[in-house]
Amino acid sequence: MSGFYIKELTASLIHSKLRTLFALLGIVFGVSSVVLIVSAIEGSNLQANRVIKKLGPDSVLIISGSIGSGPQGRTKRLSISDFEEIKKLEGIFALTYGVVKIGKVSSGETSKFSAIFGVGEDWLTSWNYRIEIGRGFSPEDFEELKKVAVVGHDVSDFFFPGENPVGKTILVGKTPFKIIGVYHRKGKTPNGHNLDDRVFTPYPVFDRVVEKTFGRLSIIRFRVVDISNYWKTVKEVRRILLGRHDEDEFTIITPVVVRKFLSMMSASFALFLGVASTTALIVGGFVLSSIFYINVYVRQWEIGLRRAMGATKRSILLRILAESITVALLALVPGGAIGFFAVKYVLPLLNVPPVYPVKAMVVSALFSLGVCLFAGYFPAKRASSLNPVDALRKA
Amino acid sequence: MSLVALEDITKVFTYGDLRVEALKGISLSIERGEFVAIMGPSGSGKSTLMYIMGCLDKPTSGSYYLDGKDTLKLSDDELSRIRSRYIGFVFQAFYLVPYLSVIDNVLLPVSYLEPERRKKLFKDTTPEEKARELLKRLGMADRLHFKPSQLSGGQKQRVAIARALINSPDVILADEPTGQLDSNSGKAVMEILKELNREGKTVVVVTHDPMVASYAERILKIEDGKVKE
Repeated sequence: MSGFYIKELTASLIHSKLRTLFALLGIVFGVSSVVLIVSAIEGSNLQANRVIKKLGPDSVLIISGSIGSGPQGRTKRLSISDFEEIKKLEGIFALTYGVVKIGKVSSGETSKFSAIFGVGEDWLTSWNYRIEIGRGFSPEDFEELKKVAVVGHDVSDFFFPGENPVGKTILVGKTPFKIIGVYHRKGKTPNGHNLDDRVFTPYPVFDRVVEKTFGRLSIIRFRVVDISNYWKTVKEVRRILLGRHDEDEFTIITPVVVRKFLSMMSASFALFLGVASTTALIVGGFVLSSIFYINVYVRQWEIGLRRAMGATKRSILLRILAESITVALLALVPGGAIGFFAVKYVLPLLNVPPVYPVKAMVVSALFSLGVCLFAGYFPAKRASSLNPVDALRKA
Repeated sequence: MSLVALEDITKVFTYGDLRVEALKGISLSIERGEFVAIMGPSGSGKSTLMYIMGCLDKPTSGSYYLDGKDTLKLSDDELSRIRSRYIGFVFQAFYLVPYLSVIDNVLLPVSYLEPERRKKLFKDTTPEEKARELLKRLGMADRLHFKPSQLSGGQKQRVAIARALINSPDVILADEPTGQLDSNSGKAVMEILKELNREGKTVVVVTHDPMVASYAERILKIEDGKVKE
C-alpha cells in the first residue's frame, strides 16, 4: 500500500499549494546560500593554494614596506647591498631582485601605461617566464647596459598587432628600448594583476635611463635548496636585514604568510557569507516549521480522524515528517540549481574562482535535510500527541 | 460474552479548578448483532460515552471489556490496533479528507490495518475491489473519483459509512449521523444502518433525535451522566 501512501501524501501537499510553496521557498533560499558559501570558502582556499604554488613552497620573497600595498606603491627601502649580503648565504638558489614602477610606454602615436620592471639577471627564469619569441637576458645585456626589453603579449600585441615584435623599438618614458623577447601568456595573478602587461629591462639600465633608484629595490627573491632548512634560512635572512633596517621597512613573505594574508581577506568574506547562509537556512527552517504548525492546526480533525481509524502516534509523526522531508527534497533541486548559478556568476565578481566541490555540496544538502527534519519534527510531534477526541471536536 | 461491556464508568474533566463529571457511573452491555441508540440531550455525556466505547478516550474509573479484552490495560498503540480492528466510526460532520477522491477516502483506513489482519481480510479480494463494491452497494458507484466537495451531504455520509465498513469492523459507532442532513437523506442513511444491522453488524448510534433512535431495537437514555431506564 506504499503506492497509496505516496499518492495520498502528494495529494495533501498539492491540496495546500500555497503553504507548501512558502515552505519550499524558505528551504530553497537556505539551500542555495549554503551551496554558495561552501563553494566560496573552497574557492578562496583554492586561490590561496594557487598563489602558493605560483610562489613555490620553497621560495622566500622579501618586499619593501608592508604587505598589501602593492609593489608599485611601496617606498623602496631594500637595496642592492641587501641583495649582496643575502647572496653570501649558503643553500639558496634562483636569487634575484627587481624594482618596478608604472610608466608610460609608447611607439609612434600610440602609448599605454604598463608595469615597468628593472630586474636582476635570473628574474625571468626564477619566476618561470618562458620565452616564446626571441630570447631572454644575457650577461652582456647587463655588462654593456644594453637598452633591451622582454615584454608580455599585452604589450607586444598592443603596439605591434600581427607583427613579429622582436627587433622593434618601444619608448619607455623617453628612452628607446629594443624588444628582444616575448614570453608565454601567464594570465592574471590570483589577486587580479595582469602578468602579461609587463616590460622587463635589465636593472642597471632601468636605474640609468628609466628611473634613478639610488640602489633601491622593490623585491628580492630566492629559493631554498633543502626545504628542511627553510625556516633556518628565513631566520638568517631576517637577522641580516634587521641589522640593516627597521622592522617596518621590509616584509619577508613565505607561503605561510601568503596563506595567512589571503585567508585574512577571505575570512571576513567567508564569515559574512557563513552567517548569511546559516541565517537563511535557519529562517527557512523556521518558515517550514511554522507552516507545518499551521498545517497541523488546520488539519487537527484529520489527525483525529486518522487516529480514530487506527493510526498510532508513531504513524502520525512519521506522516507529518514525511511531508516535511518531501518538501525538503523538492527544495534541494531548485536550491542547488540557484546555488550553482550563484557560484558561476557571483563568485567571479568577488574575485573568487568558481569551484563545485561535490563532496561539500552533498554535505550541505544533508545539512539542509537535517534542518528540515529538525524543523518538521516539532509540528509532527505536536500532531502525534494531540488528543484524538479534542482533535475531532475541532472541525 | 458481550461485545461491549461497560461497568461503572465515570469520566471527569478538569479545567484548572473546575471539575466536570461527564459520566457518573455508567454500566451497560451490548451484544453482537444489536442495534442500540444512545439518546440524550446535548451535554448529557453521550458523545463522551461513545468515544470511550470507541477506545479513543479512557474513562476516569470503571472497567471496559471489548470482545473480552480489558481495554483499560492496553497501551496507546494497542488501542490504535483495537480501533482499526473492531470499530468503524461515522461522524456527524462526515470528516471526509478533502484532497482525496471518494474511493481513496474509503481506502484510507486500510493503510492503518495490521499486516496480518489485512492479509486475512483481503485474502480473496483487493481493498480497491472491496471499496468499489461497498460504494456500489451504497449507490455511489458512479462517483468513485469525485472529490468530497462535489457531493451532497447524504452522499458524503454514504462515503463515510463505506469507509467505516472497509476494514470489516465488529461495531459501527455513529455519532449523530444525520445531524447535518435533511430528513430524507437522514432517513436514507438510517435505512442503510438498519440494513447493515439486519445482516448482522452491531450498530451503536448516538443521537438526540427520536426519529433516529426509532430505528434501533434498544434505546438507552442518558441524562446528566447516568443511564435513565
